[in-house]
Amino acid sequence: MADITRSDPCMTAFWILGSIILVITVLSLIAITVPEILDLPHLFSVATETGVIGAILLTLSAALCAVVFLAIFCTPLSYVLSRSTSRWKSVVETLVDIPLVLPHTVAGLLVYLLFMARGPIGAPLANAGIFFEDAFLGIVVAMVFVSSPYYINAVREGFEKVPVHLENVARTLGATRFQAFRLIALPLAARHILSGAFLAWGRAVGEFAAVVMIAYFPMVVSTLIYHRFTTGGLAESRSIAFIMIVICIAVFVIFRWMTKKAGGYDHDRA
Amino acid sequence: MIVLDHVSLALGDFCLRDICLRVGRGEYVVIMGPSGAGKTVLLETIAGLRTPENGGICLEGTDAAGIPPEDRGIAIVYQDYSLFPHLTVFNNVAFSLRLRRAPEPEVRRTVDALLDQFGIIGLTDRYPASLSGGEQQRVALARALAAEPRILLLDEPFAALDPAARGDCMRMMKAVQKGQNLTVLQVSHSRDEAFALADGVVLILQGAVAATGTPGEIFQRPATPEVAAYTGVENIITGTVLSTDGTFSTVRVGDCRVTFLGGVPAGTSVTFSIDSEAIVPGREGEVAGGPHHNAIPVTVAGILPAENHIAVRLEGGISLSAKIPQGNARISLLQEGERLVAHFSPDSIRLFREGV
Repeated sequence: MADITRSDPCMTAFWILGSIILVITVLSLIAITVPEILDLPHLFSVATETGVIGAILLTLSAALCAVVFLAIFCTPLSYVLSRSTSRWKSVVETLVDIPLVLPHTVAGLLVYLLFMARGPIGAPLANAGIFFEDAFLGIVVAMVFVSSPYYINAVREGFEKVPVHLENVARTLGATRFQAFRLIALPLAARHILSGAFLAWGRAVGEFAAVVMIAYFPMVVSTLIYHRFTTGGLAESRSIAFIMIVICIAVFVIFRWMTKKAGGYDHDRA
Repeated sequence: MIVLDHVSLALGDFCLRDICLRVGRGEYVVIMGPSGAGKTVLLETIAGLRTPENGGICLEGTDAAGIPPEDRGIAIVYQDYSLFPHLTVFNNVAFSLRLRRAPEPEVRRTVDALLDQFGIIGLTDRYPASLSGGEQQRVALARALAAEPRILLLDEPFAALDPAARGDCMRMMKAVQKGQNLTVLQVSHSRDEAFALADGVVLILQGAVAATGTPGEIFQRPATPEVAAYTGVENIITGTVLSTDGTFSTVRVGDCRVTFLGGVPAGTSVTFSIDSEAIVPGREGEVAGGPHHNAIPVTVAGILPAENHIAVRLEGGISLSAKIPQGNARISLLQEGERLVAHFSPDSIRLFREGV
């Protein structure tokens, strides 16, 4: 079938308008890639620095922990929101979206107020020996807070696309409500769950302001890049940024492959 | 057996109102009614997927209140068949068996037997998206029967099928129902399905039961004007009786007078229908009739040819629809806007309701 967008002036104009952002993205990638490729020894030395490797591993693992937390605690919330007809639903949805509209420093401050050693959640946990300030847990909490709307909204949308009839049929075939959720809704929303997880992971990896409010140390990659930029200049920070871009693109490719597998039943196998 | 005792349920602007219903074991009952009447909601309420606000449901003599859908012994098949798209045909049909942890050899034996019974054994490893409507419907029925339900609820299961597939599926469904002595409650819009399958028909109008009876009782002898209107009866008219001689009565409708067979006291408000096939549009004096023959001046407002008749819309003191058999040479010359007289005899009028 011919591509109708080729000869359509309206669609062509839209392509031109949209290409502005594509050009900016491509140019920025070129701007960071070219100098790094031209100075591979420096890139290699940065990539093998213990501090850089540590910051990357810390960032990736903290973001992964944040996503696991979201998957366990926010998937049920997303499902409830997708099925609820309660008049309180919009209130809950507003609460969910609050981190989206807050400046990230404010989000970080909120997390700090709650989880600092004198905070309402931090204090009792500090008594039990669990600390959030300048700690791995603090980083995870900040990441969870800022990335939760991305996960919840994507997953809720996925559950909303699963017809209630399917779960009704499963119930009459002998499934409990939880079994209908686990065997029908969950696998059918898998693509959206993966998408939400990736969005949340990406948001968590990129978080800086909220994280530094509660945990400047240990340094996540964003903090390290900022630190190197302010203390060592552009060349010091650019290589770390380039390494993160490569890692994120690799994760994105894996994610695309996984989502294709997750939703393949409706067309690939037909 | 299913017994609904004054069941009511509100869903936003819509509500089921005071539904009383009794379906015997092994009966095949068709629920009919216009779109939005509450038929699907009624099925879902019986299945336990919705909770009635008032009234009770008894299934096989047991109060169903508090019994979750998975324990009711009821299977439901929706109009879109609702096959699980991420499971193969085999795994769709095996769903209920695996839920109750049947041994895998038994699962395979049962599923294969059902797929064979429904003529879809060749589809075992296919996914629902690759199946035709008829194939999906057979898989949905096989999946429902694999759960060994006592009651089967079908929500317009044949609506999306072409005529040939529909006939096959109806015959298959009736055979399965008789063979397993299943109690079946089916939602349908089709009179053909009601006559072919149903022991009884329940007509739902605006969330309430408007009529129950055999298909013949509902469609050939509708009890109320509302039921008659749903079943396609045209020319339903309300007027006040002016006079009667005990055999014939004359009713005033606007500026017109209509005479019908039967003695109804003067002053009585009556609702009646005029058989659209008995109305003959003709010119003044063209149609002969007895002393009680009705002749209403009308104008031809519309002519719509159909397969076996021509539908003629007549406007005047009374708005009438007439069905003229195809091949009537005189009628084929009718023109829109032509002034005629609508002729019909008193015995073509059916009286529904009398009131003061």
